[in-house]
Amino acid sequence: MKNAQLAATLSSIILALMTGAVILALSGFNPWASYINLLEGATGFDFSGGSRFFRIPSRLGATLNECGPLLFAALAVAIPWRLGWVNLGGEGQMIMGAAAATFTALAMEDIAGPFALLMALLAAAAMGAFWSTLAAWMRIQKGMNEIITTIMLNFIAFWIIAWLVHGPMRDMESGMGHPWTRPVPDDSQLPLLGGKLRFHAGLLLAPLAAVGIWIWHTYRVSGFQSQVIGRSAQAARFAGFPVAQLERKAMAIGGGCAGLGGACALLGVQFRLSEEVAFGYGFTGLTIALAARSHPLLIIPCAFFFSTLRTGAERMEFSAGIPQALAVILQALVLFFLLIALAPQWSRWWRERQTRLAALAAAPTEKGAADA
Amino acid sequence: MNEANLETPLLRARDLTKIYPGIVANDGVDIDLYSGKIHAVIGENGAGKSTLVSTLYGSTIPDRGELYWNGQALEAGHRQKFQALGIGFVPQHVTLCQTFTVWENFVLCDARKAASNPATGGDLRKRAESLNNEYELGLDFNALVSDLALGKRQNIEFLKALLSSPKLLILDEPTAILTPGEVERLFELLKQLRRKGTAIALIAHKLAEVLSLSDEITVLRKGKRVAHLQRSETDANHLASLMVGDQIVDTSSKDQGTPLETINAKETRPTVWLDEVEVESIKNQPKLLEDLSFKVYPGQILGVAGIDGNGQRELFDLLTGDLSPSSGMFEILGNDDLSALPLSERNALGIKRVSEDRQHDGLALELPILDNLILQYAQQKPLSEKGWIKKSHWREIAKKSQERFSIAAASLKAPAASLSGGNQQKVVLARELRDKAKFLVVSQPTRGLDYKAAQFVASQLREAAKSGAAIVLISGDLEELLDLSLNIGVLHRGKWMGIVPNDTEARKRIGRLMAGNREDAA
Repeated sequence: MKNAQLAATLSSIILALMTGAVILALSGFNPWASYINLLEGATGFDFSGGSRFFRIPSRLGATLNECGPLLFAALAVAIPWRLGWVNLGGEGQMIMGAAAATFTALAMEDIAGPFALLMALLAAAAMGAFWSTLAAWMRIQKGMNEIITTIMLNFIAFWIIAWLVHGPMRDMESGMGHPWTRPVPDDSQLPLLGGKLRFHAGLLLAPLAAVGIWIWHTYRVSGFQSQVIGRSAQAARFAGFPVAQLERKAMAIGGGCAGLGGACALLGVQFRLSEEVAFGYGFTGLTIALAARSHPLLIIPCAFFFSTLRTGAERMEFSAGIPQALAVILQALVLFFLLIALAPQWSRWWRERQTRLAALAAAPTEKGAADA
Repeated sequence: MNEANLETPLLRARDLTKIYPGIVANDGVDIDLYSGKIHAVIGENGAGKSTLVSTLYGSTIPDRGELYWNGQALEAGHRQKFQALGIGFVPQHVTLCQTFTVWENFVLCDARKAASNPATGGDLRKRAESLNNEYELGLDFNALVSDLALGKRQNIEFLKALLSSPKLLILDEPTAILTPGEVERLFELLKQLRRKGTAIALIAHKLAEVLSLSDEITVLRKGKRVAHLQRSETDANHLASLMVGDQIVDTSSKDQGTPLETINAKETRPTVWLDEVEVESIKNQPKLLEDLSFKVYPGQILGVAGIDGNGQRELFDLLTGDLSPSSGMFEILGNDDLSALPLSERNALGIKRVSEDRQHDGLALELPILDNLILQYAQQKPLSEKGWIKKSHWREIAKKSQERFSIAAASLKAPAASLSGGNQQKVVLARELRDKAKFLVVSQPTRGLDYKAAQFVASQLREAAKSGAAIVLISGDLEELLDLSLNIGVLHRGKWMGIVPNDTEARKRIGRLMAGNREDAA
């Protein structure tokens, strides 16, 4: 991560907050008070100086709990991004992961202890990886643009879950009429940690994954090769790197992360599978990955920033009547300023990507090219 | 110089100085451009040629210095004003919209005029077509730019500049991407313009071209003008020594180093052995390559001449295993089907490639020079163990490569894009020649390089041959082929026209073959 890129990230965030302040002021709110309110909502701190500064620890816990799935969703974008792939299917992969976790946990209801939890997490990762691998397969074998296929797979995932929770998996007994499944048993839920903070173990899982990815990128030969693929696919091919294999691997790992993110949201917070299980995570994950320039370590603070926005805005609507949409606006503004700051890089990146896809369309598979 | 000073120059520049962070690109440069004269600006890479001409066509604002147009002071840095005065420019790197047709690109450069007045738009078309015919540019106005060869694309830029009926035409290294035939045609064109009284300024690298074309020559070195000469006052040796700044350069004796002794063919097996090889295209199209028959033994350099687009790329792909032969006998390093091997195995066999598009095929420009020097070796011991990168070994080996190839870089951590063209090529060569290459396929290795860098690349190819590599050198530069190769084969429309030994007759015979006349027919 070069300083210039870090500066781009920070200045985008600051500019977004400043523009957000203008929007708040124009809407008749006090921007400073609103941001303080947002921060209080997200952290549970009391900045107005009451007798107890840290008043509601569980709010910080909620922010931290939000952080885990967001971090995973961001990794789902960042890992394939390194090879020049755009995975917009994080949301679908999360949904499928959450569904697999639910299904596994409910199927293993009778087994006590953490074994069921472990199996649920594994199933979620595998399912997410499977879902993203579909897109990888379509691009490598058929030359189909993964930006489009991953979005399409989101819809398919969403409607599969919609059918499950309205149909075969719907909880008719204790569901209170909602379209959702039975809650997963206590033993398969992510254990609560942090005392009064009440955050769950998923928060530890996600940064662990991020650090693991960083080690892979920095110290492993295949990580180096992946980076070369992202910068110049042709040079990587001529160097004899197993390009298609690394691409499949990156997409699978990215999808696996998304699946785990879905499992975190479900097994840590929601407990019942519903259509809304991963609502909005995909887009926020994309923003985080872009803001962090896909650097796995920088993603961690970025994810925390955006989860603060999300939970804080919820609170703000409740207490000060400022619409929750402010969080989405701020998020979009960050993206907007990032795009401006990095415009030359984007255009170069896009050109390189277009030549690659053109080459792929001419010879869809490496094997095919060799056979011809 | 004295006689020329009597008339007013069309464009006069005095004391041009431009300082970029860390480098003085131009340092008090004077230049006078006269109507009906061709003025060449020469110098090594980084001598400040591009900065100078970009000031002259109005896109750079100098830190100091004055410009005069017909004796009148001219404010620097207003490209549009310069254009209106009649200063046309043909850039080195073609700046066309590739997804548009040729005609659309013309409209694009003059869109306001074309749109505001359909009648003028029609006039534009007429003028473009008449210029196309007059100068025999051979442009199909309905062709997509992306379908055209580089030489043709440059013709588009050329026509674009001519459309504004320039009084002064500035060209930035116009011959860098052209084939010998195209260079000749371009020169005819420029001479035609000169006869009509157009002033022409161009940047050039090849001294022979400079001498054959120009009336006046300005030599830059490290930002300073070291000489301003009339054509009659100088020769190639003189210019070369002015450019590099030492006196020992001698272009007449090229240290051919007796082109690599012929190997005793009975004892050694050829590295490359092709006999009547054909490569078919798809669907009844003409064959990509025909009649390929040649052998290359270890230690030999086989040159391949031909006008660009006559099968050079296909030959490159065939020899590196990206294309497979349809018929004929084909054997490289004992393998008769290279394309069945994955690229990593071909690399491991000792087949190395230096593609003509080094920036795209050979480098990951945004990554550090260090990474680019390692690339395919990353997975080998001791550069990595069990998949873990050993960075200290990387640095050690990259440092060695840098020293051996004298790559001018302040830090190996800088991105490869920050290097000059010559140094980028050195990075590719340093990497490909690090291990002992058994078979090296090289395409246009010195295209766009300055004199010194080109000499260095040539010496490295000789070195590689001496240590036993078989080399196929595909080049559009006949001088380079004659300088380096033992034998020279010629491609014409994908057909192998035959092999010519590199002797005094070679130049003539190669010329005939390049034009498509077989020896036996002549």
